[in-house]
Amino acid sequence: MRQERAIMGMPISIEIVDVDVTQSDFDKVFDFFVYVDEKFSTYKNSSETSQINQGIIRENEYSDDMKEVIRLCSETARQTNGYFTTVALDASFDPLGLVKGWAIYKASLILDDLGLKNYFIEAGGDVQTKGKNINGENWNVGIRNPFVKNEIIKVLYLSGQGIATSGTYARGQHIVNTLKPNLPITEIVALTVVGPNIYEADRFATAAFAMGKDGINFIEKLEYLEGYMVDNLGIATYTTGFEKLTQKI
Amino acid sequence: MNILLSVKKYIVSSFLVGAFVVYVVLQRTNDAVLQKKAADLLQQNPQQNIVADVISTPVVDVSPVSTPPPSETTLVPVPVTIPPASVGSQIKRFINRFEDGEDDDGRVFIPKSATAPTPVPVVSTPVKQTSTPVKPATVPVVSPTVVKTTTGMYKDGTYNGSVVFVRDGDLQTQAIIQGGKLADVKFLILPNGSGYSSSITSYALPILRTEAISAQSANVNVVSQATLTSGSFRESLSSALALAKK
Repeated sequence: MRQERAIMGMPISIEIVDVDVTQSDFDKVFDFFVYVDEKFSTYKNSSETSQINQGIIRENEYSDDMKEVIRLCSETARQTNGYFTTVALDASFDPLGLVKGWAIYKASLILDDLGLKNYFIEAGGDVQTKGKNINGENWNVGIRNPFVKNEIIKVLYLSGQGIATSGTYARGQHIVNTLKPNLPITEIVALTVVGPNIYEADRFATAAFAMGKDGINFIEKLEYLEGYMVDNLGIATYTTGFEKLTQKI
Repeated sequence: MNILLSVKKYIVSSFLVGAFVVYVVLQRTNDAVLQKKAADLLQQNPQQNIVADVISTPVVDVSPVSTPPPSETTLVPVPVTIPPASVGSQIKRFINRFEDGEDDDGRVFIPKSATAPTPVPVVSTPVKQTSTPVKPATVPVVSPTVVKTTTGMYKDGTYNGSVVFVRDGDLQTQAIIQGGKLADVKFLILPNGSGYSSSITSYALPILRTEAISAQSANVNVVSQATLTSGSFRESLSSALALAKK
């Protein structure tokens, strides 16, 4: 069964193939995303994030989830040498670069607790997989062509991993030059990261993308991550273990 | 000048990095055989081991160049042992890619710049030899009335790289330039082949591969893509990008 809703300003889709799945299982996950949106949104004045920025609540009043997210943010900032940051352009606090992946991961833990074993949760192009699809295969996850909407440039077979893509599609579209692949890489258009879960994949995809063409080297150095980077010339660079993910098992 | 400098830098670094990549390929494939051949080679051509004290680089000439006629005293490739066929073809594929942008299947090895050790760019003085027949096919035909611009950016000849220390031994490469292009790379010295040595390839010199993106089957369960629908997410990302530009 597959369901979709728009929460946090993006489509969230969940497919669960376990036969004993119920509507309430879906609702619990969607409700969690609504909760995360209410808690962390930088648009909603009532959110805890906004209240922190307005100085309404003090550090000792932070919720447990906020404390956890802030701890994970500073940990990620350290691990990425500052490429990941919660400081927005206007100097306000913005943890959303990490919250999406964290929320999907937490949502998957909800399904795990409910005893569901075969599902994916996708929010805004970031995916947590688990178990097998309806055909008993690993989940077939496509990587979108950053230059062509609705075109897939890679199919990965995942079971249990998370996959996240960071990118600037709009800009890339105007500067692609596939006729001159010899030109040096000048800009990275998209970086897809596969990790042991969506939290790991998403936070490092965000940070590594900010590193430009060195981002893929950063991913390569982390043993548990694989990456597929597409530059503005339509050339992809991928990590040593990436090809394995493209093999249907 | 800046352009000249960067072109020069690009060429020199591409060459050195390329040599390392080929080394890695070879290292993975057949350490022992190559090492023996390299040792033989050293005995046959001891004069090739002279390493220049002064740092010099292959001449980079961005102005139109015409290839000297073959009758002149010229720098020619020294006969060298050919690596095993499979390895040789890998080198050829790499070199083709190096020169032309991509090989048959559009793939290429590129080094991981962040972790690859940077060899000291020392290139020895080319070994001068009296003229020996050069394959006619490799000599570009120069029209008497038209100045032909060759694509090659090196002077033909055989150049020994400096001895570079890698994790458990010395490494020395030799570049063979034909028609202004890198035609082949030989290994004069390779570190001791061992389990420890081969671990270099997976640890110190990981290889990233590249390919041109192409459309695949759209028959998938779910799609991973960048989403910029959340303005805040975009803002966060651009602040990260701003940091990256410092």
